[in-house]
This record gives sequence, structure tokens and C-alpha cells, in this order.
Amino acid sequence: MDFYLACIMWAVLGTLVAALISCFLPGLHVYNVMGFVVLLYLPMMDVIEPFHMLMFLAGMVTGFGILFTISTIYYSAPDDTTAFYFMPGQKYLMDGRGHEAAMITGIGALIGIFTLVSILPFSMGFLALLRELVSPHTHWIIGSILAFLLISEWPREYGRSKIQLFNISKEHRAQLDKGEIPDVIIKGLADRKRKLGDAKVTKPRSHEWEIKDGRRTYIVHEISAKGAEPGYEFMVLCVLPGWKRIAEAYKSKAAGWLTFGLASWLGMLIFYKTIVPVDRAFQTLMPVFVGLFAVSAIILALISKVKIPPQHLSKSTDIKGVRIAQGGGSGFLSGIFAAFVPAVTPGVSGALGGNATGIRDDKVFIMSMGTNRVVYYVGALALFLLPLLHLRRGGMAINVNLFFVPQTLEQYLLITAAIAICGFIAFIILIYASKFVAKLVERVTYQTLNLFVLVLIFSIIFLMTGIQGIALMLVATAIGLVPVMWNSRRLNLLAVILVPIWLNMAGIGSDIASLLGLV
Amino acid sequence: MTEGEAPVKSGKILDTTGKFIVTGLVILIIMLIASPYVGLAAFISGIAIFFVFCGIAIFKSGFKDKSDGISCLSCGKPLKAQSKCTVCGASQVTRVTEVQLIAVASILLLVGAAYLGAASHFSETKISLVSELRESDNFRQIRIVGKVIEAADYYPEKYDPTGTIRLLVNDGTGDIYVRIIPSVCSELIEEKLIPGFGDTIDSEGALFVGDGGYMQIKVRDRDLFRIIDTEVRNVSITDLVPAARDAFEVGDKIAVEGQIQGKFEIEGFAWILDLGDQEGRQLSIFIPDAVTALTGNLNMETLYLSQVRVTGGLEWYESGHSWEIIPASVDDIEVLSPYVGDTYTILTVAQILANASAYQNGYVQLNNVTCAWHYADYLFSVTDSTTKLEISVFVDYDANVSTGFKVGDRMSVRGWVTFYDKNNNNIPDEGEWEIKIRALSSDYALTEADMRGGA
Repeated sequence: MDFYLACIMWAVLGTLVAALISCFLPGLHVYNVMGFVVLLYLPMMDVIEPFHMLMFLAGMVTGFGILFTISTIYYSAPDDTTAFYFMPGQKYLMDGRGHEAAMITGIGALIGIFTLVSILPFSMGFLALLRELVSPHTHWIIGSILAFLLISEWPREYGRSKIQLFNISKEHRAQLDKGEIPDVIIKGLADRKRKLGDAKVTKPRSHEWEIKDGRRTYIVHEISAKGAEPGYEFMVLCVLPGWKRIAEAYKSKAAGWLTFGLASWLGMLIFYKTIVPVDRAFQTLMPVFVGLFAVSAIILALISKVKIPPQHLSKSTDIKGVRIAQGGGSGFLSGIFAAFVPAVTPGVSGALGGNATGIRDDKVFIMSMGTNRVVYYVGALALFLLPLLHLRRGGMAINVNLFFVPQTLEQYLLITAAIAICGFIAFIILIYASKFVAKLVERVTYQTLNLFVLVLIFSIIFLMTGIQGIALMLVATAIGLVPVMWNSRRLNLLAVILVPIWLNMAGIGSDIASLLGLV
Repeated sequence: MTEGEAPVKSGKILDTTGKFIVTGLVILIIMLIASPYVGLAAFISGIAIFFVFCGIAIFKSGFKDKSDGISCLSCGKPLKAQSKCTVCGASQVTRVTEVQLIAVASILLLVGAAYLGAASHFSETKISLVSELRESDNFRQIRIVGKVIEAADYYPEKYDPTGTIRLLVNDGTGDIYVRIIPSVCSELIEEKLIPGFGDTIDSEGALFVGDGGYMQIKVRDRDLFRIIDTEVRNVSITDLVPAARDAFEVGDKIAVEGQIQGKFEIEGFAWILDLGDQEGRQLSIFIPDAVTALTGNLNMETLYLSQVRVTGGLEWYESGHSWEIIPASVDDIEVLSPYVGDTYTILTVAQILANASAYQNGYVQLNNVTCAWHYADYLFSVTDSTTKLEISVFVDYDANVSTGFKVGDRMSVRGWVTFYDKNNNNIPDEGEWEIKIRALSSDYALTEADMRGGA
């Protein structure tokens, strides 16, 4: 029993380390931290039992899975898995509800842990069978996912001829009905450098008002009561003339495809060339992911000049049972899909899951991503240790396989115990750490905070991967800025790993690399 | 916050409920971290204390987050409607509270404890066969039960009184090295439980497969290493000394009684002791330095010439075509009766040589003999007025003998009569009789001058 207790002790220590990093060293990806820990551990294998180190990593992954939301929401430093609820999270933060967003993610994470510890132990046989069935088909499954990513990057603008400018509340209906232009619209347009001249308001349709000033036509569109967010019931749109309509409509799609192409090229480059120093080759992905997701988000935050409003530390969360079930269910399905299929990460699986289960609500989306992320990271570890399966997936298996090979049911049950206990501890820490960081970020300006995080990230990347890593990160940042600047989906950035793995699984990776002059 | 906007009601990081829950959590974490050192009780009490603190938190006022109708529960901004915030759209009625979430999350603690209990039911690792291990098993947790077939290697740590033990083990299907790491080794040293040649061990650890089929398991946990009790067979020197290779099994655990009649140290390698009986049969006891490094130094002053019982593994010494014993510990050489001195028969050189075999393994004393040949202070011959023949004298290291004497010097000799078999085939004609002056005994070979100083 002493061995078991020592296992739990190591796991709890791992969770505490994850908590510290998530709260005070934003921007670090869990697998990079894990790589660093393993690097330190290998010379000490005689001193620390490998299984204890595995428990430490399990605690750390569980802690990261739950607590990394702090880094994403408060420090705008997401990783490849949290980047997709970054924007809704930021919306909550700007509403003074950063803590509530963290708690919604936390609830999702809690559901993820519950499902992992209650479902996986009883699905060994089924999952082993599923792997046998899926393995020969992985290449075309990934190919289909890539096709989905490209096809679903549809033209963004409303009706293809109108672009959405901003939203206003329904309080202004009376003014519009009287033919007056509300001040909020004049101010909103002025903020976007559009001056209204001699404009007139008409109501050609029951749910729309038109404002024409001779040069441009603006439409105030009433969103259906069911889909409207309180305070944002009316949408102000600008009607575009002629060819501009097509250009605007396809701008985001072109940016999305460009992002996809550039990320694919970067992925092929890092898969076939060792850019970072050879002794740090296992950290190659770190500057790439940090550049694509964290640095680009921080740059956006720096140039956007936003101010974090005072945060309200709510003691309850606005979420209903049905939404919890919807978000948790969708998150679990997409998370386990990501944990099971190579190259698929929570971002991609979240998009697939969201489409499959019809998630539209920000709240449910944030929660589903919380579940998805935990199920992906912690599930990858659990599936790696699951008897009859021992699925090797991602950075977790690569790092752990350097010193440990799983085999027994006892090991799996111990890991499951650690996941449950550390999940509980991480969740409680999340509640209070989120409140603490919410108060912390209020006291410094958003720009100062982001600048600090940016300097921190540069230092860490330089320390871990040298000047070559910085160069790689800058290239990745430039690519990461494309979807941010042109309002396309960041999901396309994941082509950085999806495309090389897909090409390799299809058996044409080296041919394409040679075509690109990489080998 | 824009000008004129109503202030946000922000809330506290730690209210009364929070203080209790965080205190409970801190105690729980401390107890969980301390539990490997304190025991299962710390683990269970940690969980119990946390629940007690949660209980207190629930019964304290203020844990409920009910709308005051003034500010929104989600964003803290002033409310215009009772059920839904007009600014953020959050419902003020259907909400999940922190305490409810903590209560639900607490189930995970119990689930974790249940899985720990379940793990203990599957704790036994299956025994593997060495012949079935493959490179693909690298890093797997492997359990091997087999016999130690070579004397243990020991690599001491530079600054700590411990080190690494390496054993070659055969399980009947193949050989594998078992490496015991310093922390486990220090426990074994403390428990005086050192595995030795011939011991059957049950060990478990991660497998490392190297080049050329080299395989090793690394034992990192004291509980994963066990020496299986093996029956020790009592045999006599008479049984062993003439015995052929097939008479015994290599690695058999045996116990033999006899007298330590010789000692020889190969510096940095081993001690070799001669265990003999009164009939002159001798058996080697091979004590590698690893054994003394792990179990303590040999007390030669006590052991030499004492009657002892030696327990160890039987090894066939190929060059000498004889059996030897390798003990696991210096404590396996147990003194039955210490050496108290011998009774010497006073004879002349002629008397001895006339009927040498009658005095073989007996103790004789020669007075007023002359050094007839001198190779070194440890090998010379003596004669006396009774004969022109000489008898060799061979001196043990550290024996009581004069130094710097030369041919013609008169001296007195007393020692043990033995036959030096040149070809090691026990044929008297091909060897010669000699008197052996044993260290740490009442034997001596002293010149007249030294005799006057007292033997």
C-alpha cells in the first residue's frame, strides 16, 4: 500500500506543479513541460521509480487539462486545444465574467474526468476491437477531416452581400420606428471610420430597417428572439456594392485556405527538417504551437488596446442541466475521438463534435471544449495504460515511452485513481486560482500583462530551443496571425500536424517532402 | 468601465465557505503527500478531514448564491429584471453553485480511493520466463524467479554507504542480470539480507534490453525483491573434496564444517580461505570483495585456524577441478570453536623424514636446526645433525618468523606437517614434505637470537 500512497503523492505533486505553471507561466504547452520534466528525469531513473514519474506526469496532465483555462482566459495565451474557445472566453472576460467562463470550462473538465474514470475501465474489449477496425482506415479518416476543414470554411458575410459591423440592443427599436438614427449606430459607424451624411431610415421588411446616406446602405436586422443574446438583439450590417460583395464574401475563405496551406508547409518542414538544436529535437513542436496559437493571440491582444473590466467573482454559474449534458456529451465524444485517432487534436474534434451535435451556444461550446480537452489529454494517458489497448498517441506516449512501458491492470487502476483524485484537487484549485488571477489581472493593464506573457514566452522558447526556436516561432506567429487578421478559422492552423501525418499514413509523405525540396 | 456605468459588484476571493474549503483542501493535500511516510491512516484522515471542513462550510451562512435583485450574479452589474440580466443575459434563477460543484467533485475522491483498493487486488505481477523476453519488452515491468549463478558484483557509491548490486540469474530458461539500485541496496544491507551465489531470488523491475541480447531488470523497490528460503544441505569436506563435477549441482546451498587452515588475499578481487579437516583434505572458500564490501570485513584473527561452519553456494572451480563454496555474507562463516593453540611433538629432521606420512597434518617442533637453503624468508629448508637431508619450511604471510636470516643460521621451527603436491595429484613421490608455519597460530620459525628475545 505504501507504493500506492507514494504513487498518489507523486500525482498530487504533479497537479500542484501544473497549477503553478498554469497560473504563473502562461503559454507553456503541457507536452513541452512534460518533455522538459522527462529530460530532467532520465539521469535520475535510479532515484525515482519510473512508475512514480508516470504518476507525476499523470497528475500534471490532469492538472493542466483542468487549469490551463486560466492561462487562456486571463492571459490570452491559449494552446492548440484552447485556442478555439479563446474568443468566446474573451467575450466573457470583457463582460466581467472571466471567472464564470473558467468555471464553465471547469464543469466541462469535471464531466470529462467523471466519464473517463467511469467508462474507460469497462470498455477495454470494445476499444481494442474498435482500434482493430479503425487502424487500417486512419489515413482516409484524416483525409476526410482535412476535406471537412477546407469545405466548411464557407464565406462568412451575412447573405454574401452584407457584412456585419456590430450589434445593438433592442432598446433602440422605438427610435428606428420613428425614422431616427440612434446615437449608438452613429457612434458605432464613426468608430469604424464611416461617417453618416444625410441619412434616412426606412423599414422595407418587418424585421429590418434600412439607413441610406447616398453612398452606402446600412441595414439594422432584428435577430430572432430565440437566437439573440440579451443586449445584442439588433445587428448592424453594411450592404456592399458589386464586386466588393464577392471579395468580402470570399476573403475569409481565402484566408482560411491560405492558413491551411502555410500551416501544412510549416508542418512538412518541421517533420522533415530539424530546425531546433538536435539535442532539443523533441521540443520542435513547442515553438510552432506557441507561435501559431499563443503569440498570435497575444499580439492581437496588444494591438487591440482592450481594457479588462473589473471581474465579478460569481459564486454560481449560469448553466442548466440540459446544457451541461449537451456540452459534456459533445465534449466527451469529440475528446475521445481526438484521443483515439492519430493527428486529431481537440480543436478539430471539437469542430466535428460541435457540428455533429449542433452546438451553437457559446456557453455549451466552452463547456464542451473543457470536456474535450481533458478527455483528449487525460484520455490519451488512460488509453495508453488501458490493458488490451495500450494506445500510443501523441506527445504523452512519446515522452513516457522513453522510460516506461505499460502492461498491467494494476497500473491502469492506479492511474485511474490518480486521475480521479488529481481531477478533484485541480477542480477545487481552479475555483480559487481563477478568482485569484481574476483579481490579479484587474490590477495590471491588459497590455502590460500580455507584454509580460510575451517576454516570458520568448525567454522560455529561447532557453528551450535556442535562437532557431525563436526563428521558428516567429514564422509560426506570422502564419497564426493570418486567421486572426482576416477573420478566418484558427482551426486551419492544425494542418501543421494533420497534413504531414495524413501524408505519411497515406505513404506519400516523403514524396511530397521531396517535391517541396525538404529531403 | 465606461463613464456613468454602474459599478460591478465584484465578490471576494475567499469568503467564509471558501476559507473552510481551501483549508480542507490544503490539509487533504498535505495528508496525501505525507501518506507514504505516515501510512494509510493519513490518506483516509485527509479525505475525512476535507469532508468535515466541507460540511462546516455548508452549514455556515453565505454559501448560497441567491440573487439580491440588485446586481447580476454573473457579471455583477445592476439588474433591471429579476430573472435574467439584461446586460449579460445570465439567468438569476437556474444556477449551479460552487458548493454543489464541490460536492459533485468530491465523489471523485471516493472513486479514486475505490480504484486504489481495486488496484491492490491485481497487484501480483506474472512471473516471466527469460527465454520468452524480447526486445519489444523493453521497459516492461518484469518478474523473474531464478537462481543466482555468479558471485554478485557490487559497485559502491562514492559518498554513501551503499551501492549497486548486480546479479546474474538463471531461471532455467535463460540468464538475465538483476540490478538492485542503491536505495534498495542500502535497505538490504541494513536488513543483512544480501543475495549470494546459489540463492533463489524473486525480483521485479523494469526490463532493459541491450545490444547482443543483454537483458537486465532493475529493482527499484525493496518490496519487489525477495530471497526465497532454500534448504541448506549439510555435507562434509570428505564428501566434497574428491567429488567429481557431476556429484553436485552448481549453486546448491550447502553447509560444511572444518578448520580455516589457509588464507590468501587477491587484492581488489577476493579472499580465498582453505577449509580443511584433520585428514588434510581442503576445500576453498571463495569470498569476493563484493561480499566483504556488503557484509563487513573478515575477522581473520578470529577465523584463522578456528573450527567453523560455512554456508554458501557450491561452485565448480574449473581450473582446479574442485568444488568451492561462495558464501553470501561474512556472517555465513560461523565460528564453532576458536583456535586455542596446538600441541607440538618435538622431533628431529631425520625422525620426521623417516616416517613423514605418520606425522602428516600433525604439529611438530624442531629445535636447533640449521638453515640449509634460503630462497626467501617465507621459503627455506632446514636440517640438523641427525641427517644430511632437508625439510622445506613454508611460511604464511604474517606468521611469526625471523627476518633477514641466512644459510647456516641456527633456529627453532614449529609448525604443521603437510605434503606439498607439485602436480596437485596427491602422489607423494612427485611432491615433497614441508612444515607450514601458519599465521595467527602458535607456529614459529625463529633464529636463536630471536628466540632469546622470546618466541
